Amino acid sequence: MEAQVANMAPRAGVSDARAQASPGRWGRRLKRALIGVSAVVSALYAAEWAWIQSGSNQWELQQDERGAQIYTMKSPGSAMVKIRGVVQSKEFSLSNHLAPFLDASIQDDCAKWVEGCIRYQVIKPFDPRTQSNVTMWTVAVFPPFMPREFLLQGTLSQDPLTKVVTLENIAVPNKLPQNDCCVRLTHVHNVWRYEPMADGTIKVEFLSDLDMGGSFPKILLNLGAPGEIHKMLTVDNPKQLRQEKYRKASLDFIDEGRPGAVQ
Amino acid sequence: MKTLTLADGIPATQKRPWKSRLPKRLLKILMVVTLALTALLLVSHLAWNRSGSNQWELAMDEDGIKVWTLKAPGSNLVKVKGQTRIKSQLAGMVKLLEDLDSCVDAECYDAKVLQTIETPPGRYAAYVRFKYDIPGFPTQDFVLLQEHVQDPRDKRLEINLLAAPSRIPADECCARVTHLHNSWTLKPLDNGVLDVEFMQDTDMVGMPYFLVNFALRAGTFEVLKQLQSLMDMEKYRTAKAAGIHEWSSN
Repeated sequence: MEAQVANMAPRAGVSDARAQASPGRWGRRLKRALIGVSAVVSALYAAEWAWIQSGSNQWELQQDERGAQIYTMKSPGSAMVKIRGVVQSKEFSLSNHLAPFLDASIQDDCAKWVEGCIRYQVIKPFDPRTQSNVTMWTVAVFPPFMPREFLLQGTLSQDPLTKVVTLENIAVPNKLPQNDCCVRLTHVHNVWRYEPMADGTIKVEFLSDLDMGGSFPKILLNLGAPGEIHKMLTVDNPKQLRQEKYRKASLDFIDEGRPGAVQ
Repeated sequence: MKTLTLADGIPATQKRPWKSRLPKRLLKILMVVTLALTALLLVSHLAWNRSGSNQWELAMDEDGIKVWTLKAPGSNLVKVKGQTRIKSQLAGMVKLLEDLDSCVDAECYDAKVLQTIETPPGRYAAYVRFKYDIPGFPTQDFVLLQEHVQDPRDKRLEINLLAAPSRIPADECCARVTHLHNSWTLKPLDNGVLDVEFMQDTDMVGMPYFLVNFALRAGTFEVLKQLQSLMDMEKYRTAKAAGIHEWSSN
């Protein structure tokens, strides 16, 4: 009995000691966790600051495969990189390239044009007088991020001398009231440039300058977009442009002539 | 012979005078305060970001000028809309808002037209560039598509300004504004009065959003307040604007 009591006494003592030590141990753990979290948060802020300040402000070649070159430009002061894709081919005429811009039927299958597209609406059809339209693309992104709305004013222009056609898509976030479903992009300036060359090819340049808005991680867009643009220029778009309705298109306000040709 | 002191026999850790422990204690307090502040800022940022009715709400109504704000959930920035009435011709306002020589009255500089776009009658469009200084912050570099369209029936003029940041390469001098969609609606009424509505949806680069929100609201009010005195200036009173049709009640 005494032995049992003697055996129990130290256990009880240890238990008491543990009970007393617990708050201290948890306190130390909490302290370490707080220090760790602060260090990580500080490191992230420092890294973001360093990233924003970085950049050569020059186009740098990232990829040169299957006839398409992808360049990126990081400017100091901006968190986003701009991406420029260049491809050159004889396969499509200017009208063939531009016909989808005027095609309202894309509303039925917009995901074929933009990955993740869940809706495409023609808000203001193309007006040949103003050479512009207003459209809205709603694109799903992965959870937990809300779908993104690209409400864009597209403006076409053609240089009468060089025949270069430029299609500029600029964000017009206030053309329609905000929808609760989605994040409306406020910074989009994407430019398509089609330059007829002397050898009969057309040089296509696509410049992407956008921010997905909200809390969407910029790093994902910066890392993923160059590859997506390469795929769009070399695989997705040519496949769509080969459709009969676009092949046959002839836009009367577009001059297919070669640069420098006298009218 | 060694003289005993009160500290003798006390463990080394307890021997350290109170003053030598002060930096460590201060550091601890500083860390806790920093963490608490960070947590508070994070929570208030999230609360602000999620807030908003997505409706225009009247924020100011003074001196014949009304200012509304619209806060949408998910956005840190508010949109600001102001409305007032002034005595002016449309041409005077067009000169102020579109003629880059008028930059001097809006405190902008290095203004130039990058490209004028060919447009049908009643419409105008051009890419323009100008700079604007904000003390304590980077010089704001505006590269914009500036356009207007006039309604042939009531002569109402809508002027839109859209950020077109990729029009020209970035300039290391300044911070290029990438988010701007502002508009002016000028509706001529009888007796030479213009109903003016000005909407701003802009982000200033390098400026915290709470300051941008404050500046947009105060700035909208100030701009509308100064309009009448600007339009009273000779150059705006006698201005002519190509393609602009003034209102006539006859």
